[in-house]
Amino acid sequence: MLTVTGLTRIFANRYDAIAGGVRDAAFTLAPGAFFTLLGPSGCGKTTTLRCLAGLERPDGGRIELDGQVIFDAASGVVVPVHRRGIGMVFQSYAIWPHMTVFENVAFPLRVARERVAREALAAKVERALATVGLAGYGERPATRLSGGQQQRVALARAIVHAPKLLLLDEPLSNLDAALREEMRDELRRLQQEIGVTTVYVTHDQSEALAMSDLVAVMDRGRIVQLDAPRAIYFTPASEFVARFIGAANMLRGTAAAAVAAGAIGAVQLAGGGRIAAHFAAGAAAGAAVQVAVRPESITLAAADGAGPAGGNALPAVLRAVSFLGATVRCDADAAGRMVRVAAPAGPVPAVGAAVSLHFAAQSAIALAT
Amino acid sequence: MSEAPAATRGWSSSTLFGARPVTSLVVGGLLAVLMLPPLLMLVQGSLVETDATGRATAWTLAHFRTLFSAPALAETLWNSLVFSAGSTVLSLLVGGVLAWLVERTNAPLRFLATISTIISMGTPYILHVVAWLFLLGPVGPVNDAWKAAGGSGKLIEVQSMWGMILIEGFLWSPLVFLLLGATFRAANADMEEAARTSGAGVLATVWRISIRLAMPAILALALFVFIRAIGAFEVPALVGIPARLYVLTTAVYESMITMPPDLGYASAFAVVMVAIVAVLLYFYGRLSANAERYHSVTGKGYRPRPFDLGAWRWLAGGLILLNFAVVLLAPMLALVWMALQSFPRGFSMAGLKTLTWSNFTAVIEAPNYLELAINSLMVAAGAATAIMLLAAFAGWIAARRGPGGRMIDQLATLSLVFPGIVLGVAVMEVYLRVPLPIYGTLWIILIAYVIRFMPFGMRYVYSGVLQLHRELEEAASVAGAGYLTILRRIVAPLLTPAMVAGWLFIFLIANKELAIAILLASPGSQVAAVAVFDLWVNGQGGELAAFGLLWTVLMTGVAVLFFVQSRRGRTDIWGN
Repeated sequence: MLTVTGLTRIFANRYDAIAGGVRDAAFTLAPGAFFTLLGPSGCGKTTTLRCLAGLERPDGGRIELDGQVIFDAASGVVVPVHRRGIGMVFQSYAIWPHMTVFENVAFPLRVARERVAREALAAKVERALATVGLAGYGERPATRLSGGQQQRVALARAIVHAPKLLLLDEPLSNLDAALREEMRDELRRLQQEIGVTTVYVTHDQSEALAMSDLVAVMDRGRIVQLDAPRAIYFTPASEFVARFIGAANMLRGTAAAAVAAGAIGAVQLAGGGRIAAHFAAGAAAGAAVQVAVRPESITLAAADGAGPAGGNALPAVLRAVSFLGATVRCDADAAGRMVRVAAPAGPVPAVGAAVSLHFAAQSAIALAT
Repeated sequence: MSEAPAATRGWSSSTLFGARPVTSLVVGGLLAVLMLPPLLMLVQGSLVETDATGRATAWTLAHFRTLFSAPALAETLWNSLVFSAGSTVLSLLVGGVLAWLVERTNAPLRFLATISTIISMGTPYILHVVAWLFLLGPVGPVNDAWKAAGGSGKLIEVQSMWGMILIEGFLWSPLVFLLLGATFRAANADMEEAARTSGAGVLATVWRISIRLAMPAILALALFVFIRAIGAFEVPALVGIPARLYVLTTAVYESMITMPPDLGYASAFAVVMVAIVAVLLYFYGRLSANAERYHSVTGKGYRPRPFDLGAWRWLAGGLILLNFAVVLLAPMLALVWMALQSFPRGFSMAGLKTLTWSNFTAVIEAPNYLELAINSLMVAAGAATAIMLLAAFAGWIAARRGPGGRMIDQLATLSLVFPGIVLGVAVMEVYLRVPLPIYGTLWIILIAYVIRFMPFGMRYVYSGVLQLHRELEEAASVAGAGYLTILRRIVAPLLTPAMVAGWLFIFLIANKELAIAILLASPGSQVAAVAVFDLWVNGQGGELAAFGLLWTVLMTGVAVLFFVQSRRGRTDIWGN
């Protein structure tokens, strides 16, 4: 159980007023939860992680881990990093080159306050190595490892002493694409197997959505949405979240009538036309809204084709088509608004053709501006 | 010119007479003419008999026989060994602890370390030595305090092996601080933080991770300092000779200043030294290649992440202050005191009544000091300029593996095997024999400086070029630029910061070292360090201190420029 309240760490910048860091972060993690801090670079996610680790001293706030206060600005409690009982995987892995794989993994046990007997130590290290799929690699020099293997060693080192909290700082960002996907699934499987509460930092939305129980999207030092992956995806709380999660199309308009929270309502688009959209927060009549629509939620149809019942249909002209393999990316001009569509691989109308853009009311998300 | 088709512009780089091989040939030839004769002449000088006029008459091994049969050789070797090892250990300890505290912790007063480094960059070694001789000498404050506290005799006999080690150790500690500081700064903080998150405390992290990771670099640096100490001259000459404690450098010097100088014997001695240094350099090369082994890529978002020492930081701050007081403040105060007294006397209240500016007025009014200063500055500036010009070509060719690159690299760094005093002997032999009328002028000192400091210029350009992405040059080549045009329009402008830093560095050390010039300077062609040495020998401590302080102020100005320039590159990258 990890409880964080009011966590603040601000970096003053000598040259201008813009300061990095994290402001007023708060979240509570159930035991065994996989929690992801998601955001663009410089949003404060790594700072948050380093504050949890104790590598960075927060300016304010409180952190409680398994009933023990490990940081509290008000009462001045600061448990130093090596007494927090955590495990951490660094972005660069930080595998010590002057030690073997075994010694790297054994390190947390060797420096532990209570001595670990030699046999128990060897057994624990072997188990950790086996868990990450590196059984038998112990005697290798740490410098003779591939990137993926280094990553596994770093992970084994982080879990060998059964930490209360596992911290992962963009551990997959230095791997190539194929390996990254493999390790993503394995990391999640491992975490479930061990059952350790985990905080994961990434800027990759698909990693965050695929692995997490809970996601915090961060923007300029603040958590802007804290939700389950599905909720983040389907009901983004703001334009920033919607865009970051991959909704490339934003249509401006106003609510045609008052809409209750969670209901479908009509939106009068700024450039003309009317669509039905899902209002997560509700809106008054005439309130300005942005409607976020994902490229993959839109279907291209012939201009005169009938749309699905209850769905939206916008007339448009196809301006550009790029074949991307799995999908075909189309840019269509709908009365002066450029709308991006990700169509399934297959024949699409020619550039210049008049088309109709169809999308369900549920996948048009109205956001207050 | 710009409308000429690309095919006719410049020389094709693939032909035998193209710009590339011709440039290499010219640069290599120049380096060979500079660097090879001293070594060859030294070896030849040690193997020939000469008649009364100095002409070689026959080959002989007599000089080596004399050298190896004299019992003095073993003793001198042993002294050199003890002296170098002792001062290496001391300077690594002092400079290393300081570097770690300054670069990797949040101890207070860290700026003091930088100040003492900058000022000691600008102070001739010999001034430090003179100051220390005063501080630890019979009338100095250390022995005074000992007597005042009721001690009998002297607490420290400075003119001893211990005195030599102590002074040399302090003399080198700023350089160790500088070089190890760079190592600690470049260290990947993730490695230490990984240990901390694994449950290791500060001490365990430093002992098990930081020191182990820095060990290859520390060993390489230790050998480097050891080699420099083998070639050190100032301390052995001023501290050791009066106590009849000879090391290799002072033994060579003595055999050169006896009348008549025994050039053959001195050469044989010098050849032995060169051989020793060459062997050590070979191991140094292997060690420093090894030092890169643990060099790992740092993660993104670099920010200095020092250790929090907690309450211990005040103790650490105390250590930094102590170091500042010992390495800089005490010697400088000693010099000020000496400069303000008309005759040598210890620190005392009574001495306050006899303070006088007379030494400073003497220095400022006497025309020879001004001439001396101008001589020194001109020779150093000339040498630095010549070196950087030649090194710009040589370093680029070597770093980019151009034609003959390896040979050019080896030629340019050949003079590393010469301790300063030995180079003095060798250059003297060369220009006594070639019919160039430069013996006894400043030109011979300038040439000796160029030979001696060429490796430093080379290192600045070489590492500067390695930092330039190769594609910058390839892009120019694709755009149609010829070989020399790339050097002039692309490489040279981008290398300017490295070249300026290299120039300033050479300018500073050329003005600092005594050993090379001491045998080459004649009454009409003096430089500052040699003049200070003469003043010391003549017992004019007051004028020496006054001139030395003025000189130090001037050189510190240059040293500040140097630091600003060398940090600029880093600043651009890290933005703070």
